[in-house]
Amino acid sequence: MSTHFTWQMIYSGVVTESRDNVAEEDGPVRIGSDPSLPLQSEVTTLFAQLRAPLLRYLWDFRLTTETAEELVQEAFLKLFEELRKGRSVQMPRPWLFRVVHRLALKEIRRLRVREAPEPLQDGEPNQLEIADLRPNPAEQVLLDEKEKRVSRALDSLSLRERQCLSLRVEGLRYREIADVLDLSVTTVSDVLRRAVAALREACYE
Amino acid sequence: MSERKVFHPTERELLMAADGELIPHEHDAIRRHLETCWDCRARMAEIEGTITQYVQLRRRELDAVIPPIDGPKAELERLLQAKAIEAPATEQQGWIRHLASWQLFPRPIWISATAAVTILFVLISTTFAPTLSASLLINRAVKTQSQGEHHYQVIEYHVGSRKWVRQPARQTKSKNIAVADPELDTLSRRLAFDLSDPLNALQFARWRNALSHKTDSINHVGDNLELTTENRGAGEILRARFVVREHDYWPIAERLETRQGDLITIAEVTPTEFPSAYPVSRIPERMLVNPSNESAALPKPTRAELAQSELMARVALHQIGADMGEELQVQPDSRAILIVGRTESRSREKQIKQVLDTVPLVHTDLRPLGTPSVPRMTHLQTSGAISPNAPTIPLEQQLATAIPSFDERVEFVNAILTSAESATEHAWALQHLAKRYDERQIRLLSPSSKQMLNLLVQSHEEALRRELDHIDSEISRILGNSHTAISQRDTSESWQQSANITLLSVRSLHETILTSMSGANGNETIPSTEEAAQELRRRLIDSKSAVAALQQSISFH
Repeated sequence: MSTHFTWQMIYSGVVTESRDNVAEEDGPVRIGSDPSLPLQSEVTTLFAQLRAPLLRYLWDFRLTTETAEELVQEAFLKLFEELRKGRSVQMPRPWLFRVVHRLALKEIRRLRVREAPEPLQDGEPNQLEIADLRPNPAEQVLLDEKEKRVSRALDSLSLRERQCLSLRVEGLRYREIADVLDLSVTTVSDVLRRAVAALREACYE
Repeated sequence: MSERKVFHPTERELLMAADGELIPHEHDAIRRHLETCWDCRARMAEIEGTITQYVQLRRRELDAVIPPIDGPKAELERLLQAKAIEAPATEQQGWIRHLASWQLFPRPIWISATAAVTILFVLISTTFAPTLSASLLINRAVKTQSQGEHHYQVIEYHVGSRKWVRQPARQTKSKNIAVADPELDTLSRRLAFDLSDPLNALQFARWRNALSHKTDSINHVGDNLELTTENRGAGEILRARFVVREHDYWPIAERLETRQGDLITIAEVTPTEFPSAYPVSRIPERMLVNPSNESAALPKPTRAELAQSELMARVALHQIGADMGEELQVQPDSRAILIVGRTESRSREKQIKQVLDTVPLVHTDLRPLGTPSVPRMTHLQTSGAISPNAPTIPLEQQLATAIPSFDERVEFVNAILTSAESATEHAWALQHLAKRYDERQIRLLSPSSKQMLNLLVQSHEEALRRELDHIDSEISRILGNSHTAISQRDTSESWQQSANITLLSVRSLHETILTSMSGANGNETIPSTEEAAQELRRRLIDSKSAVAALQQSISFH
């Protein structure tokens, strides 16, 4: 009906500064571009190895593939930064999982602030987004009965249980899983036991 | 043997054994037990089988979902390359060191580092809106821009003591906005920043990545995210601020501060459903250097520049409704646009000055009227409230029948009068615009300015139509529905002509309403009830068809 007439030309510099990244005045340590080159290739090699595992891990966060991809990239950029600052990242694998986990939580929080539909709730099935990526009905026929049961059991697991499983399946030790998810090792082993028990029941009943 | 059977390992122990998570002697114990106990071996086999099943299922479900690595890998390489050029940002290293030394047991550095990150994250996420990194913001802006369609920008440049405006239309697919502007080109070369397409996120990224020392900060301002990058190394641009809409990361504004103290502000104007991202009341900082020799240094603006500024001034005034009969005149001369007038109050004057503040080449000469509440349209009698001892009102009978309550009747008539008044104001504004924007003036406008003019006219026209519809429906309440079709007039008339006719008919309608419903017009012979009703309908139809004709006569392309 009415025309919304927007005049977005006024620009103001009056803002309350809330810096999240303030450099110290004495200046950062400069690393030449030469020594940084091997670092770059180190990071890309790692990327080739770990991108898929990280994306698989992010699956349970129900972000879009695009966002997941961005977060993974962001994590590798962080890793690069870290290495360039001369810090050693002794175990890049869990380190990356952890960073990606944090970034995903951040992203979800951001989405929530924008009042998007709740993207993630523990144990809450989100059929809309799952629907198009899970095997379609035709493919579903190909899955045998057992797989179907396991798949259903998997859906009924809590988010934490799924996260523990998928971190484990990507090769993380209990200690490392505990660090990614901020849990104790005992909790991790307990969560895993419950998850495996649930799947096992679906498998062998 | 029978005693030992009691100590079958638990599920958890079996899983931990399978995962190699037990300490060696526990692990050995389990292994030895499995050698002797078929039952537990079967359990163990089930656990292993479950794991196999899970792994297969996961592979089947997820491997197909993951896109090929080539694109993302190339992208990462590009980003790494860009990062490699820039200096590493120093973060709160003190924190991390402090935490690390605080640990009782030696732990890998990455744990303490992430702990610090976690604490920071918690702090940030509880006190502020969630943050994101500068590179993520830019990446998303680039992505959005590569998907958008046609856009218009109004770009205001402040350079030294000069300030001018351009309005390139931005086509996201095409490489560049090819509007030759030698001065801009020189500036672009000096700043190493292409100003012909400054809201291009990719270009901002390029500039930012090339900096050797920098700090970023992201602020959440209104519905926007503002990325401020401070250049601490070499380079002409000292500080740049890049503003994107929060919900889709579309770049809407940018501000560059140069070493010489120049301020370049860029903002997009686009007809959108979202409320103005930068409210008109927000005033930009001024960083004009040598304002004393302004007149000497200031080259004479071109007629196109003047036309542009004038239109912007009109649009700005329209934003605050100051273009509808207020005592304000927009007077263009050869060097500037003069806004002369008298305002009803100091605050109105301030408001007008504020919205005009960002429009280049504008000078204001405003004085308050002294008396606080002067009717906005002095040439029309619009005080139309019914007083209890009102003179003869031709439609009194109908009004009383339709609306028995006196108070409601007063309210009803006042609402119609308000609509009529507003309709007249919009018609007046349209007629003034028509008078000003003849063919010659329109020729001076760039395509996007024409678009802007179009929107301005449309805004008035739609408001006018809304008011007329409102009057129509209200009048139907007391006179019943009329079924007269709106006469389609000859549409060969010019915009100017139809705007004149519109103003005349709306004015007559206004007067007829005054006469027939409030008896305000005393010096004429009072029409009979029947005459008044007919007159009212006729005027209404006249006005509506005038607006319809006006709508058809408008074309600025």
